[in-house]
Amino acid sequence: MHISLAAEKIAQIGPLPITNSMVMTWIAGIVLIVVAFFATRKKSIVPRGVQNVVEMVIEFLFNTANEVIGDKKQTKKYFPLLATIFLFVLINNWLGLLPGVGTIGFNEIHHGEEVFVPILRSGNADLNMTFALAAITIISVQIFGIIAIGFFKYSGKFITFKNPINTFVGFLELISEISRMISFAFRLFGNIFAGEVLLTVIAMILPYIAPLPFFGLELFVGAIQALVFTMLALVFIKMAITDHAEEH
Amino acid sequence: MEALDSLGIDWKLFIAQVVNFLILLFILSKLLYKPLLKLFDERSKKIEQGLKDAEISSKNLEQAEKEAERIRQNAYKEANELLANSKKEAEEQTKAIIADAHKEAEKIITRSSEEVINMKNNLVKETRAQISDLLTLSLDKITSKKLDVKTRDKLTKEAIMELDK
Repeated sequence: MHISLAAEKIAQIGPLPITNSMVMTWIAGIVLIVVAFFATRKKSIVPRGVQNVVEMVIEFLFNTANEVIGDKKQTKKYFPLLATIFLFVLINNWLGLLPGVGTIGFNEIHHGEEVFVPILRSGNADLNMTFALAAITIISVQIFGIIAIGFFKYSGKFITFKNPINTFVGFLELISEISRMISFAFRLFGNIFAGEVLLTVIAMILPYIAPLPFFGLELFVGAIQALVFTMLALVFIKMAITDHAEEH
Repeated sequence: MEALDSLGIDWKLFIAQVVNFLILLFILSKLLYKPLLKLFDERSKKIEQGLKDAEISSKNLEQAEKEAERIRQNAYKEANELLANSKKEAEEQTKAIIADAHKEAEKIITRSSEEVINMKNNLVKETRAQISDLLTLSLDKITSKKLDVKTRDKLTKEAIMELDK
């Protein structure tokens, strides 16, 4: 059994290596676009079929976001990012549980020994993906904050010289933004990667029946991680767009 | 950098994923969120409108029911009045007709009694005339026309006068 922390390279286009995780994220993206297309193809005021399911999800997300942000107009600004994070992470996590992901592949000679390279691997079991999501989220939060309360007010959160305590707190805030990004990336990666490893190990020990509860668990973890990522992003946005000076 | 390598972090892949995600974000915004959020707004507007309409129509219904009740009461009152009026009228008419009939009957009775009296008078007159003629004729016959006309008429008159007593 060989478990690789990094996503395996399966092809190369010019300078860009194509990894199995990346292929998975493409598939997830295509699935989302196709579903979105079918859900909105024939919009009717009374929802039916796919439209109904998709609407339920979108409405749930929108209401959750709206509860935290508290203003519909504001929520609409941040909603696309939040919804895309949720849907993308969720679909990636669930697609990673499909049979064949991680098991269909080929053998490759790597550093003199033969290793198994799966063609597909859960998208979020690759730190590049989770870091990309984390970076987008944190950078977006900064941008939203600057747009909402102005550059100077926003940067005042991090750099102030009014009194030494505030200066120090601002410095801590700056560090915390970075640590948020790292924790975002590693939380998602850790959970999904651990799930993959767990399923692989269980399937090796007892191939029949035994993995089923773990699949259920991983379905749950996949949904929870998507929700956690989205909710944290939501809370960070809310914190960034709130003018603290005004509150006191 | 060694640590990052062992974790599988590759800047090229990182950037590719960022770009992928942003493209997906853009497409889903256009394709999914925008139309659906618009639809939600429309729907909530429509539901609000529907509730408002329902309220208005229930109010209208209440009013219409009140109106109907009012009309019914009025109609009932009117009908009662009409009935009472027509009863009164009918009674009056009956009374009038009866009175007329009485009058007519009285008239007829009066007229017929007058007629009877007239007839009797005429009869008397006629009888008298005939009697006087008869008397005249008898006198002429008895006296063989020896009596002068003057005396004869006087005698006849006297006889008739006697008859009236």
